Amino acid sequence: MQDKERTDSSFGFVVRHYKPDSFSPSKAWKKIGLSRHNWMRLHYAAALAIGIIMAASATLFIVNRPTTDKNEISETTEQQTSKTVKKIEFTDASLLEVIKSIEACYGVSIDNVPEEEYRLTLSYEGTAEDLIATINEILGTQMSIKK
Amino acid sequence: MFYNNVFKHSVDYSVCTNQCNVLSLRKLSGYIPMKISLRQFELFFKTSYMPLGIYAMRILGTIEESEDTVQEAFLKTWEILESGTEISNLKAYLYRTVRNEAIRRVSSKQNFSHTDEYPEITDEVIDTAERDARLWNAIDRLPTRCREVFLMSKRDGLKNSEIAEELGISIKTVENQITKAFHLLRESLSPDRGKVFFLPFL
Repeated sequence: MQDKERTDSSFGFVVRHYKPDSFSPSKAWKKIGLSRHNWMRLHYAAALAIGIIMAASATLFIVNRPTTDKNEISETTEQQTSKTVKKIEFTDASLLEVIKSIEACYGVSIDNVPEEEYRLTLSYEGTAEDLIATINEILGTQMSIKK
Repeated sequence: MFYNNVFKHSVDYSVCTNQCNVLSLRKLSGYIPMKISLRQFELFFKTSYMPLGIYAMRILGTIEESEDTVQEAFLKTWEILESGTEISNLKAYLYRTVRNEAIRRVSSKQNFSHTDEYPEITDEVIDTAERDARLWNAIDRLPTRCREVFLMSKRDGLKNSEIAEELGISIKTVENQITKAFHLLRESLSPDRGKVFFLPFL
């Protein structure tokens, strides 16, 4: 009997006050933001970690960056191609100087080098053929690599 | 086409995540192990929120204020747990917190204390709140038309003929819908429905 009274009491109270979409735990959980609070902590930790990595990478880049000496030639090898790719840099060098360096660097001999005085400032990475073709295009010369 | 001799270096880092597995709760006792993760707290929140809300409504009278009170209680409780304080019976603690806060709100509106009007937290109080929540959920789950007819009759006090006229259905249909609603709600309060199961903790 006591049980029935309690049930009737619950019934009356709940029916009187019932409103749809009330007391939704999912909505309330989102509202109090505890999960977001936790997520924000992870977010900050991740952002901090990324920041540290970027700073470390930047430091390593600065320490390891190549020198900026004039007329430097360095050699790297592209493993994907059979041709050797070289890096070549000149600042206000004469064409003759550049051609001599290309010949020494690439192990080639270049024909039809003009006698006119040209000054070149360039930074180039590629094969000897491409480089000569590019210089020809820029200066209107007719140099070629002896075969 | 300057070739940057970029130092390629992979760096592994890990961000700690609070991945705790859910532990089992003793049925209806509300006992939770001392160290509680946010995930465990979330599960407890989702199972206890409605009963606590309806309990608060018995004191405060409105749904909105009850929800605010319960949400605040949970937030404060989480802060206490995070600070390392141990709570042996979380459910009882929350009911007491909600009761105290609800009474404080009522008292402040009316300028005198209502503490004696509301019984201390006992198993009976908690059982009542959980029964109320089961009923509330059962009404939520009623088929739409059935719920509509039922509420018009029992909440709004309309006669069957008035409901029939308003909804454009027969009086017989109204009666059938109300009978169906009672049957479904009674089922929701059966003894077996009273058991609450929680996920097993690992």
